Amino acid sequence: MARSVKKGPYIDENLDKVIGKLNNEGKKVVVKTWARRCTIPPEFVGHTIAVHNGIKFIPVYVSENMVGHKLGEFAPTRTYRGHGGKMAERSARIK
Amino acid sequence: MYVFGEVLKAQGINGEVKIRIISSFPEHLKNLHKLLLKNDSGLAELHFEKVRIDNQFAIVKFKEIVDRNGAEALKGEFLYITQNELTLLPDDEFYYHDLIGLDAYDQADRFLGKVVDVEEYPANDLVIIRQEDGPEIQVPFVRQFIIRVDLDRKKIVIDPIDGLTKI
Repeated sequence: MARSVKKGPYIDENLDKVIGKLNNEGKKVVVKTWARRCTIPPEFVGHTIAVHNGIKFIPVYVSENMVGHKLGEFAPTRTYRGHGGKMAERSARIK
Repeated sequence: MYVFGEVLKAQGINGEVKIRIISSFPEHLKNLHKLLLKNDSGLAELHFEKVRIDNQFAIVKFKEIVDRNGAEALKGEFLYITQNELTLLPDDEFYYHDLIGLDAYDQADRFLGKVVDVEEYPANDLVIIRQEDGPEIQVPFVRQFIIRVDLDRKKIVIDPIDGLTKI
């Protein structure tokens, strides 16, 4: 069942406070969080949030198209490293 | 030699095989004429007779494989391409194997460590840098952190913001 619209999105209070403070100071710092269920509001865009995946923190650079999603969506708890090892024809693009 | 795909199973009775394409560029298969197979005597060339691509999978009929028994013998084998056959990439895209082994520096030209791995995540890829004396640094592969990648000088310049080196 979807969350009631009346309540608005769930945003972790502490995280919101920390990011709000960083926005006021114009600072960029990696913020660690365990709040995987926190919805990403527009204020988080441009910040790097290290989201815990149960084992370690995964740094997530928040971009505009992540707004409305949950932080946990970007730090998977199960890892599939794929086949073929490091010498596969796989590439990374600078986003 | 670079891994392009892996044979999953035999398909049908005419010697076709189903391949999982490991490469980031499945459509590149259409530009190729052959794949390489490692065997006891070295490398064997497998030439395409027919190719059908479906997302990350392909059904391929090789000229050298004529029946299902031959196709079943390939199950689990990796298929390779040569360096010359790799897809040409735009300026802002890099192969994992090119990034691994680069020396990482910050903007003040201070040596941070060596790139030991590249991990794929839904938001952005992560470049893993092993410091000489300290924990690994995970750097998001985004413009805000990656200042320059110089493959000729084997160097990557990053902008490690506060906290990134201490996650």
